[in-house]
Amino acid sequence: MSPVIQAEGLSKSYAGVRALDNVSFTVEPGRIVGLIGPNGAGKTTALKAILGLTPYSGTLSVLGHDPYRERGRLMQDVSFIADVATLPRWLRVRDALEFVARIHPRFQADRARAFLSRTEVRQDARVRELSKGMIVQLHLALVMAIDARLLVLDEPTLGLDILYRKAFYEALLNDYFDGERTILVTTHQVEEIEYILTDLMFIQHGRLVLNSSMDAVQDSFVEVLIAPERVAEAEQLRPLYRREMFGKKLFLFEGVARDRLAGLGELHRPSVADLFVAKMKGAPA
Amino acid sequence: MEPNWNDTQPIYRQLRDRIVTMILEGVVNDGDALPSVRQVAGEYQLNPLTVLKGYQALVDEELVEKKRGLGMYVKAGARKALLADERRRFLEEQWPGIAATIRRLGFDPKELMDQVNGQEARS
Amino acid sequence: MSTFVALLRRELWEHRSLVIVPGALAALILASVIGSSIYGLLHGGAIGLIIGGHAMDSFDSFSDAKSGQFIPAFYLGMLICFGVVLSVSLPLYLIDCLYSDRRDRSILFWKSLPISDAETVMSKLTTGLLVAPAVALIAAFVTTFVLAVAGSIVLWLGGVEGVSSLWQPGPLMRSIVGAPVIALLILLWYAPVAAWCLLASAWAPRAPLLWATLPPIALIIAEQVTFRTTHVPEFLGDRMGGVFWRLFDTSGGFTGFGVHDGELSGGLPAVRDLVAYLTSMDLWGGIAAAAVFTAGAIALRRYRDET
Repeated sequence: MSPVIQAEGLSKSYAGVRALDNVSFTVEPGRIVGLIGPNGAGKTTALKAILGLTPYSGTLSVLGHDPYRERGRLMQDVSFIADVATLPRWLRVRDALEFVARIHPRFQADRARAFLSRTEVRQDARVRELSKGMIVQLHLALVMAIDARLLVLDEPTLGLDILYRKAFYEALLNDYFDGERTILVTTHQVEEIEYILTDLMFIQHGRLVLNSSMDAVQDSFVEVLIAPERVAEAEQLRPLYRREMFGKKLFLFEGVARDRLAGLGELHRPSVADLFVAKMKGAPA
Repeated sequence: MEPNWNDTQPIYRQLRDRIVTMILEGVVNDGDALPSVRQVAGEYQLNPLTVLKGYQALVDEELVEKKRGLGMYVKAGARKALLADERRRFLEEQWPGIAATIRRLGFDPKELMDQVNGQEARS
Repeated sequence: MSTFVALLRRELWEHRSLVIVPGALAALILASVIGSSIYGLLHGGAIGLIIGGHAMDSFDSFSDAKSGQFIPAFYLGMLICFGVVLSVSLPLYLIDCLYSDRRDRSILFWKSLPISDAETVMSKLTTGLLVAPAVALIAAFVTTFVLAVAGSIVLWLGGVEGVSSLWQPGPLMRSIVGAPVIALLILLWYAPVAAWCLLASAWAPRAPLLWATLPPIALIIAEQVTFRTTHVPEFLGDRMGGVFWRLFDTSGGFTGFGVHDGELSGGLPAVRDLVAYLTSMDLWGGIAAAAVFTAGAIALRRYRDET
């Protein structure tokens, strides 16, 4: 199956700042990809390029189309949710359903209505009467009722309380993701999607610092709680990142075999958040 | 349902362990259906592939079987097999250490058992 | 087609004032006429019709040609009323329509749907030049019709003779058909102004009203200061109001109705040579400018980075 997104040498500058610097990656179908990076790292720029909202240099192909030139056509197969609350405040829920039904060939209003019937969102309410969480539920209902091949989520749960956040991903996994659709998500709250991702991309200063499947990440990154007498030995193996917890040293290694590390102390799987910090601040691999 | 996965074992392994615990405690019985991959993925916020891996591990251990078109079911005799396995492991791995401690501390085994039974009667 | 219709409906959902304002005006006119009539009746008055200072007690003495023009002239008066209101609400709509969803970022929602930017801009232009005027026209028509019917019944009940001569099929049909046609011709003239408002709406980072009005004002001032001439304000003035003398013979002025020598005088202004109007350079130059402004608005909508 051909890749859903293929980027090569993707670059974009704003006023002299390189928001994207020669970025190359491939997204295969059926994956859930997390794009993690600090503010200003380039992840929003990357998403905008993928969604045809901004021009770029280099090659970028989404579902076989050039997103900037064929945005209208691409949006039949791509859905996105950009931040919370971009739905127009004057729009009525049932009008929204009717509108999307009329203009989107792959939208099934019944599915959206079924999803909404399990929420508190009333059909006759206007968006301005809904809480932030309910607006996201509405947007999600619309998006999940579209038979898209790629779903792009840009900080979809920003500012929502925990119940709505959990319900968001639960609905996505339960009712939408089928192993063939692809999801690309960016978020600051790395912990909540940590176990959902199949692939991980870290971006910093417009460059990809990590681009790997979660399986590969689990194989190559290990965090070790170093027994005090083995610290010097551990240093020999050139850890990527060092930190201390309760007076104990925690070293994060990349690409070092587990059995070599086994004797040095307790082995732990680093969380994506810890990995992120390590990659951003640590010595280059 | 906050799962609180630990960071020493792969998630799919921990999922397998949880299901094993449920079988041992009788929460799920032989012949019961396990929730679908999607349901578990949604409830625990995991990737479906991870859930599938966990289920597959159970299938490989002959504790769970896949019925075409119906889903995953706990195999007959799974609980017995697990219990037997746990017992063996307790006797081989944990018991010697406990026995040594009992001896070292000079406990009378019968007194200990009365204590245990008494505590159970009270609780 | 269904997509475009959906887009037009969206415009009316978002800018409900385009429907509410004509509706409210119609309601206001009807309420005040009927209300004051009832008030007058209750206070011992009678309902009658006063034209040019004369109380009408019979239409029989007037020629059919003249009586038949009365209701159409009344319709024209209503159309002018609603037209004046439209001349304020329409530019406000056009100046806001490509700005409002940029201000609240809902443009990101619209851009996530498979609608081309050309379709979007054209749907707003169509709403401004066709749909909103149509709504105003219908409101004016309904108001006229209700008042004409009610008024005729009241006059007839009050013993005025010859009321039926007011209702002549010929002039009435001409005005029913003519009104939308003339309206279209007038709207064609305003296409460049409408498209300019769209362009300002698409361009403005903030305060689109200022962006729409300040450049022409700046040009006027610049010309005055540099050349001491007034070509720009004359040109702009012509673009804003010049359609009326081009379409109607206003040489006599619109005098309204009066009674002279036992005959109704005044009436509808004559319409000039439509073919000459439709083939004039002024009109087509304006339409060409409208096309350029619209293309600009589409390009801005398509290529600008909004986020």
